[in-house]
Amino acid sequence: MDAVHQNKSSIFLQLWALGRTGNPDILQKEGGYPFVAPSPIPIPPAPQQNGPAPQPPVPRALTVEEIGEYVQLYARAAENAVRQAGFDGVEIHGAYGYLPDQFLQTNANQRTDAYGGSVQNRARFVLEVTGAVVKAVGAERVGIRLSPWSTYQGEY
Amino acid sequence: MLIMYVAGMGMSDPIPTFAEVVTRIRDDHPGFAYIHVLEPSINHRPKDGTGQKESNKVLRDIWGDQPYIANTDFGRDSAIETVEREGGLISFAHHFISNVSEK
Repeated sequence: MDAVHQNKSSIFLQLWALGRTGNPDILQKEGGYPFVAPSPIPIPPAPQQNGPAPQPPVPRALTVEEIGEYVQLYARAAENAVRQAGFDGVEIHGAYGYLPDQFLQTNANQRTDAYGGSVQNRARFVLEVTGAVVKAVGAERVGIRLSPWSTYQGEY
Repeated sequence: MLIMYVAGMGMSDPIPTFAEVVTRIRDDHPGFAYIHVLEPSINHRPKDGTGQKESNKVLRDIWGDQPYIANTDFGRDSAIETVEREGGLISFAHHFISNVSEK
């Protein structure tokens, strides 16, 4: 961080949440964390050069309470990054099929509550995260990454 | 190592949803640092020509003069050309990632 600032540059930390692109075995091993996403829709199997594709695991749908916890976790992560680690800001990773993108797009979000269905409902999670992060560190320290047209997850 | 899953994203018309996100951020958070948007990829564009309509122009127009960072597939010339035509900024990543498993 110091080296970046000494050379008169800035550095933002990218905030990720994986949702259905996570690995349930690792989540379990690292602390019994649930494998969760907007809806219980797995990633489509990856095409394989040899043999059949392994079936990706099916996530559990987040409860509304858990969605609120995620929003607060983003805010805390932003605060840690800026106030404690010394980053100049944070970028919310809302692209490439990770959790925020999963809420935005109908392919991964078939919820029937306030977080699914209409454009406004599917945008709700991303906007709540953005609002909480802005409140934590200030608008001028927050960017967001979006990929309207990407069909892929595994590159960044 | 990057694991290449097809993530099953890419809904048929993403613009209304992403336009809502960009509009609300513009209206609710003055001074927001930037939006960093993946442009429709030339490499991933469908061969049947359906991808020709893909454009982020609507998002650029909503965002106006605030910082807009475009990303994907840019080289020196295409980056300069895009900024001269559209304004904003360009980000580069692929050339700086070691052991990238695609491209």
